[in-house]
Formats: sequence, C-alpha cells, structure tokens
Amino acid sequence: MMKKFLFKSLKFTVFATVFFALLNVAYFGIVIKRDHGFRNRMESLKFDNPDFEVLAFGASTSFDAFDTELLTANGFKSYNMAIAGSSVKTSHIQLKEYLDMYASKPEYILLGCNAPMVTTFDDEYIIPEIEVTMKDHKYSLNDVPIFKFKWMGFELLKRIVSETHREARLELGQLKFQKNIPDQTDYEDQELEFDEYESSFWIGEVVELCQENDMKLIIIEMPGYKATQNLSKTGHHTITCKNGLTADLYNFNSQEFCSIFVSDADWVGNSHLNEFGAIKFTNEVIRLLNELEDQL
Amino acid sequence: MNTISAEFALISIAAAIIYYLINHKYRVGFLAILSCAFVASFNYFLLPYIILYSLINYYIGIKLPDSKNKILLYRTGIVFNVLQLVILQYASFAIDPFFNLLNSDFHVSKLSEIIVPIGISYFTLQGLGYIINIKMGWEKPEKKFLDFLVYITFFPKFLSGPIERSNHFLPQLNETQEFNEEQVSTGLRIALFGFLKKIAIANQMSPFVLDTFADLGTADASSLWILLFLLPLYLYFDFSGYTDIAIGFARMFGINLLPNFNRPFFSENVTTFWKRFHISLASWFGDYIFRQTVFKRRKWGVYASMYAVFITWMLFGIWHGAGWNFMLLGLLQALAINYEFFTRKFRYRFFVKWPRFFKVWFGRILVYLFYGVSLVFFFAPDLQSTFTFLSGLSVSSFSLYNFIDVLWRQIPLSAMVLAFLFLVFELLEEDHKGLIEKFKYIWSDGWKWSRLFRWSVYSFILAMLFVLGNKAEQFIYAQF
Repeated sequence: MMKKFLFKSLKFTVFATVFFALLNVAYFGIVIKRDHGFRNRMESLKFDNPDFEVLAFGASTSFDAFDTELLTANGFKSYNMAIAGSSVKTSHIQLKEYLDMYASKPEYILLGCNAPMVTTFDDEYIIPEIEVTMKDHKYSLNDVPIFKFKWMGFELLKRIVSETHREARLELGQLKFQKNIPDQTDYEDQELEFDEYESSFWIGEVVELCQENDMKLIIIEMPGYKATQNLSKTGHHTITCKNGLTADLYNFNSQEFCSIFVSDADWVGNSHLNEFGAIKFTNEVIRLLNELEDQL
Repeated sequence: MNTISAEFALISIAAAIIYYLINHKYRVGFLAILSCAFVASFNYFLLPYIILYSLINYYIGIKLPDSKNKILLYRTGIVFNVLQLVILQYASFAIDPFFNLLNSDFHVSKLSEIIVPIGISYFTLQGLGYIINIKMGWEKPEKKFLDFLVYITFFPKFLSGPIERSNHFLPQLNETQEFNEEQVSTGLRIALFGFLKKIAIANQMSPFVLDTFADLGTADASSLWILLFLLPLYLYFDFSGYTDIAIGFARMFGINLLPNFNRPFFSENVTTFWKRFHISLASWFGDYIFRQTVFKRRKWGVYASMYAVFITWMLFGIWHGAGWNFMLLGLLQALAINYEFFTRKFRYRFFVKWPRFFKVWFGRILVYLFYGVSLVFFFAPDLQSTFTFLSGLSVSSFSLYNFIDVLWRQIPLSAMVLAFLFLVFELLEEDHKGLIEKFKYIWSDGWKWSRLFRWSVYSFILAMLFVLGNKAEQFIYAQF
C-alpha cells in the first residue's frame, strides 16, 4: 500500500517538476514579450541603427519622463534606456555594455536620479532584467523566472484587469501613461543634498566612463511630488565626485522648476510624470541641450 | 520551528512515512518524541514545563474518580490550570500592578520570559476540558501518560489549535492505524490549500494591515475603510490557513482534528457566525462556560442565558489577551448575541416580507461589517488606537477614488483574486450545492483528464508557494 503511494508520489514529483519547468518557460516568454521594462531591455540589446545622439538612463521616474520621441523630433535622436527599479550601478552597466556593443557613441548622456526616493545612490543591486541578460551572468536557481520576475506577473495581472494600465505604451524606450493621479502632497522645507551625489561611488564611475568616451553627461534630479521637491536652485550645479572628476547636475526637482507641472494633470502617481508631464519636462531638457549645442 | 515553512512540511511528511513503518505499539511514543522536539524547538524551558503540566493534569485525572475529596481535587485542578495561565500569560495585566502598588520591583511577568509560554492558551483549555470531563463523568481517565502527553502537545495543533477535546482525541490514539493512501493524500491536499491561504493571501495582505496599524495617526480615511473591510478576510485566511495545515498534517497520522471554520462569512447573524468561526474555541466556551453558567443560574429563567452570554464572551475576549481591548471585543459579541436573542420575534416580523435573497445578504453583510468593527479592537494595540481608528472612519473625508487607488496599490492583486476565488467556492458550497457536486465529480476522477487537472492545480499551487513563500511570517493566532 505504502509502496504504491510512494511510487505515485514520485510520479507526481516528476510531473510537478516538468510542470514547473514549462510554467517558467511560458512565464518567461510572456514577460519578455509583454513587460515594458523587459521589452525596453531587449530592444536595447539589438538596435539596428544605434546612432543615438542622446541616451537616457535612470529608474522608473526617468522611464516615464524622458520623451525620446519628442527629443528625436527636435533633432536629438535618442533612446530611453531607463528601467523601473534601476540603480546607478545598473545604469553604469547598461552604458558600458552599450559602448562595448555598438561602434557609435552618443553625444549626450542623461542620468535621471531621485535623491528622495533612494537611501543611497550606491545600491549594489542590479535589476533582474539587466542581470539575467548580461553577457557574463552565471545562472543559478535564483534565476527561476517566476521567482526572479514575480512583480512582473503582478503588473501583467493589473494590465489584464485595468484599462488604464493596458493603455500604457512603450515608445523609443519611454513608458507613456495617459492616466492622472493628482499630487495631493504638500511642500516640505528641504534642500537638495548635493553630498549624496558627490559621495556616490557609482555616480563617479558613470562620470569617469563618460569622460573617457568623450560624452557629455547631464545628471538630472528628477521632478517629483510636492513633498519631495526642494528649495535649492535649479542650477546648473557642478559636483565634484570622490574620484576628483566633475559633472553637471541640474536640479529639476526644485520647487522653482516644478512650478511648470499642474497637480491634477501631469502625474501618474507617486512622483512619476504621465505623458503630458513628460512633454513639459522634455521640452526643458531640449532647451538645455540646445543651450549646450550653442555653447559648442 | 515555523509551521509555515517547507522545513516543517518536509519533516511532517517524512515523519508520517516513518510513523506507518514502525510497529503500532511504538507509534504514540514516536508522536510524543516528535511533539516534544517541536515544543523544544521554541524554547528549552517550555518542554519540561509542558511535561510537568501534563503530568499534574494526568495525575489529577487518574485520582479524580475515586478520590474521597473529589470536589477539592477538582477545584485544585481548575485553580492550577487557571493560575498557571494567569501567571504566564496575564501577569503584566493582572498581577504586576499589585506589586507596583506596593512599590515592589518584583515582576511575575519575568517568568514568562524564561518559560516562553507558546500555545499556553490552547493547551490550558485542553487541560481544563479534560479535568471537567472526568469530574462530570463524561469520559474515563486516560491511563497512559504518553497518550495524554500527545493530547496536550501534538505538534500540528500545539501552537494554535484547533482546541481538541480529550474524548475526541484520545480514543483515536488507541485505534490501530493502517496506512491509508486516501487519508494521507487528503491530509496533504488540505495542508497544501492551507499553505496557499496563508502564504498567497494572508501574508500578502499583512504588510498593509500591519503598517497601517503601526501608524494609525497618519492613515487617511480611505486606508482605514479598506482596513475595516479587509480585517475579517485577513484574519480568516491567516487562521484558517494555519488550521488547514494543522488538520491536514494530523490527518496524515490518521488523526482527525476538530473543525475550526465552516464558511463563516455566509452567516446571517452573529450567533451563527460564532458557530462557524474558530469553532473549537467558541464551542469550548459554549460547553464549559455558557452551559454550566446557565445551569447554575437556571432559576433566573431567560435572564440566566443573558447573564451566561455576557460571562462567556467576556472570558472569550480575555482569553485572547490581557487588555481592555479584548474585553470590549468580547462585550461586543455578547451584546450582539443578546440583541439577536431578545429581538428575534421582532426581526422575524420585520423581515418576513422581504425577498429571501435580500434578507440573507442583508444579514451576511451586516455580520461581516460587525465583525470588521470588532476586529479593530482585536488588532489595535490599545483602546486609544481603537478610538483613533474608529474616529478616522469619517464618511465626509471618504473618497471612492482614493479607496480604489489605495486598494490597487497596497494589496497585491493576486491575493485579492485568490481570496475572491476561495469565497466564491464557499458561496457555491453554501448556496449552490449542485454545482459543487458537479465540480467534485470532475475533480475526483469523474472525467478522463481529472488527474491531470488535479495535479496541474497542485503543481501550480506549489509554484505559487515557491514564488511567494520566501518571507517567513508567523500567523496571528500564534500569539495566544
């Protein structure tokens, strides 16, 4: 009796293992095709004409905010390589990879940062979409897709049931939302912490990589909800990194700069711009790039 | 050892296999060793304490029927059980304040830091129940100490019940258990669904619930309203998940534990709700407190019941913990049950012309909301927080938009979908038995793809547990 049961259990174990493997293959296939972050990553690994003049990096706020279609229409052929959850280290990896893979180098690198949303710019975490598709990545059991990319499943589930989530679309690497969630927060008296930028190892590494490759790096403190905005000047500011190199920082999260955004029209929630807010933001970036072009 | 872990599941399965391989004579001993090891995994001092506790109750049980001082021995047994519970569980509330009044630094509650009294509320009720049963002649004393030790410590139910009755549990230990594939498979299936409830639903809701309670002062009205609606579901999936795991693993050893839940959210009044929610506890209080009190005060007529309801539910509240919150939790239930008792004719006349559907759902929704409010007393750390919560539930500052937005962002959709599916299944079991019978037929080999379907569902659940189960969380009722 027990032998029969143990044999049946063994059969079930084999079945469950095969099921698990198939489930992972199917899940991976779905997220790689449907998840915006993954699609962005896969696109950036096989550009047909990678002659971009501008590349944007950063986390989710940059993913939503850099309107690369608008930049391209204004003469700056560009691609938004930012991905939700990305760390500065991840951006450094992406940029280095890009320079290794493609012969042409961009003229401008935009690095979007959010001092109020992270505890440090030196998070060693590499986001999974990048990690598992890196050339020298050693695969382990931790890379099982349904585990590694579980939040993508939740996001896909949201898209199944919510029309506003389905409406989001990816254009030249930018994730565009039409939805609006008003900013109902209040201003707080705070200054931008430049020390955070200057003491960051990974920002220093990005600065070094850009200088070595003769690319102009523009670091941008990304706009956020009122509660995250600061009283410091928009700038530009010059920061000196730990490695002695300097870079330009633009504080686009100053109360002064963020006055261009309308609370109940330009946000998609939690300090992220919707496509209308992104247009306003990108117009300012274009003005800045034109000024830099004129200086050259 | 955390019950909600792969380690616990694998050890239990391996133990069940060994259990059937060893001679029947040694099986109770094996269960005793297993259960003692489980107890010791929490605290080394707890194990000798539990053995001593069992020994005293066992001795009183043996001596009670033939004792010349039967009443004295019986009362000694009751006092011993209650006193050790008060000392180890309620000292900070019931004893230490007296020492403080005498300007003494002596704290009895320090004892509970040495003997961490995990599961004490549960095993005390089992000990008390046993002594009362013997005194009343409802069962004969257990002669084998090992059997009695297993009754008190049986590892699947030790932490949070179900609260077993000795006359239900002990006879099962003496039955010769042959390996039964159906029984073991059923046990595994029940436990698997228990893990699913706990890990994929309750644990996913828990960050929102706990974070909001931790910072009630800053929570907006929408969050509080969501919490009010969510609390019954959260507690239900947490506790019934645990109970399913306990019942499932016990079933693998051929032991049927008492049921604890029976589709509680489809109760149409509070009285019925408590016959379906935490059944083993409510029925324990019903049998040993309510009935005894009514019997003692039988001369009071109908007021004896009213009085007994208050006594029973106040004790029920206090059982959950030392604090005014828990007393009020009990008081609320007593008020509701008495209200239902005394207004039943009026309510019958009022509702008699209502269509059955509206009548049923009106009752169900009202009971759910009542329980939601009651749980604010359960979860809030003190009375002040409870009133902060309830006063924050203003209708004027409620915004449906914010409600949906907070719900959407804070509660994982997978948890909501699964909770919904479980409730739909329960609703069908409650109101549409025919459909459920058809489903059960398909599920159990009534269709040529039944096994494939079943195994796929099990495999999918295992995959979900693998994905979501990386964060260890204890269940709520383990604190009692």
